[in-house]
Amino acid sequence: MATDPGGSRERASRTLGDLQEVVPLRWTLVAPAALLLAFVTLLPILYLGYLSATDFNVLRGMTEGVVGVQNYTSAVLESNEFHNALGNTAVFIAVVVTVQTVLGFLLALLLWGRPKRRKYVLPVLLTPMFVSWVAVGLMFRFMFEDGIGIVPLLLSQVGVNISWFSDPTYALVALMIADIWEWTPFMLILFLAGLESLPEEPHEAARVDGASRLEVIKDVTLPMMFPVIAVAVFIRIVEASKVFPKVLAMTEGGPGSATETGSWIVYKIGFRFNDLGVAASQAVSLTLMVLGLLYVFYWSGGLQKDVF
Amino acid sequence: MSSDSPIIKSRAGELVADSVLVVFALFTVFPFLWVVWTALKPEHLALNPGATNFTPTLESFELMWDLVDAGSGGTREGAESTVDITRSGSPVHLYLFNTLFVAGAATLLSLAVGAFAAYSIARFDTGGMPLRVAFLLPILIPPIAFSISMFFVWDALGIGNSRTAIVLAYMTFAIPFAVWFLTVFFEEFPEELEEAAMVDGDTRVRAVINIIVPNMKPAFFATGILIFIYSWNNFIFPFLLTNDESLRTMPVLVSTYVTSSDLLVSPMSAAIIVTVSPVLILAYFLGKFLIEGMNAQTGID
Repeated sequence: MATDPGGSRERASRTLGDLQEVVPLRWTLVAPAALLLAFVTLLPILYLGYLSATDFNVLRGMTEGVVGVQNYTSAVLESNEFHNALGNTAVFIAVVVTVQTVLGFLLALLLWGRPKRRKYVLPVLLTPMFVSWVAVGLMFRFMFEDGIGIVPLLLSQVGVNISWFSDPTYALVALMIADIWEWTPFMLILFLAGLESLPEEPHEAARVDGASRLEVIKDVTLPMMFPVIAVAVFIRIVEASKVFPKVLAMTEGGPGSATETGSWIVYKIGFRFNDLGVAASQAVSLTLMVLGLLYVFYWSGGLQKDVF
Repeated sequence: MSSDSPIIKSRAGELVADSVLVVFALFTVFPFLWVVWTALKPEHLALNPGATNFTPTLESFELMWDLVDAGSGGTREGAESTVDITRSGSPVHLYLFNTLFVAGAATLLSLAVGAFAAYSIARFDTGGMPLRVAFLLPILIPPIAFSISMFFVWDALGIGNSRTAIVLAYMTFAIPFAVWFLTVFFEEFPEELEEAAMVDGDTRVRAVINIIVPNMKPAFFATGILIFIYSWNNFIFPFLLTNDESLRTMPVLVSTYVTSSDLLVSPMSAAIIVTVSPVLILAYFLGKFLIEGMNAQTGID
């Protein structure tokens, strides 16, 4: 290490210096990640945009070629099928994210400041979020499936007979249960990390002032936790909006169109009916909706720098 | 023993809290136990949820290993019949290799490029807030949107239907994850230590190698595990970007045991166990790291 044969390090540092005059070091460091990410995202996005303006079908190819905004009017703006899927997705997101937030916060409160419980219970509680999404779907499918599942069997013992996947409401509920099982741990870990980093003093002060425990949580803990909760909820909304492997594994959109979601429709139209042009227009619309969500979230102040 | 919990102050309170935790832990582990229970049943009982009187067997694993393309090859007439097995050399070990390869490659590649970018963003605030957001944008885009056009784009570039195609698709979430988490870790790392080394005559590069790299090992480890798990579990990209059976990953294999008319529960349970087990082992280490980090934060050992 001490020797430097031929002064190679000196030469190397001189070249580095020259390069730094053209592109500052900090940008050179960012470049590989930025260029690779741009390569894998921009090309597909541009091509997706082009496809969305065509009538491309995998089997027929292009019939008229570029058809402009026709797909956007017929398959997005005026498509009851797509609107129904968006509605289902919205209901799904609203229910699962609410339940995950409340449950996650409750569990985090119960583990807060209790390192022993955390050590033994937390590893167990976190496991679902590490299971492949499609496996989660299949696990819950065969637990809820009529005739072969344990859940209908147990429920029938107490006189409740539900045929989960042939009932439009219960099919969606089964999807939600699977998602709640899988992602409540995500909320729990974020909230617990947030709680553990809260300062003691405000809580102490509130208690000295005679506030009840519930009041302390409501008036002191919750406001201080708001940034963490906002980010966690945002991440979960975005992730829940992509729900697809679970739908494929559990319901395939059925019964009828009761559990069709945005991503499922794109898959069905693009990969089962082969109408990629139409599917592309719906995929672009879904993407724009998520970006719109980010925009709203960003400007409402939910996303702050210290989140990163 | 009295607890340090800011909200639970009484013995009764502890009891209630622990009961809730136990109930939720049971809700959490039940699906796992049910999969294992089902996998240990003889195949003809797999569809009988109430069956308790049986000798545990590893039949399901043999079925998984032997079943090639269960979706089209399997026939079933009532719960009694056995699955029609197509024995043509098991590809399961190949699927395991595929999964390991694409997840490993995605992890290493994203960590390699992500580390430099994260260092630059954390130390020099390169690009400011807009660059941070730009690096995160791709994970907002539904993977189904990428999948539709990626198949054709990769094909046009001559890398369609390959492991490379899958790894590149994984970059859409692996790079954002790597840059985001490593930036946080670099920012938390005290800049003074690095500067002290530079004052002592080290160049920035040497300071990074001598001071930051050894101290950041756990951070890289944790970020790597997270990206690896996410890649290992990914279903949509290998499912939609490849149509060659030899390129299947484990999650794709798991999905072949279910069709609209059929649910091959026995081999599916075995496949789920094989797919999930390695990840849970890794997750245990990740969890340990997270909990240690939390303990350090609160000064509890």
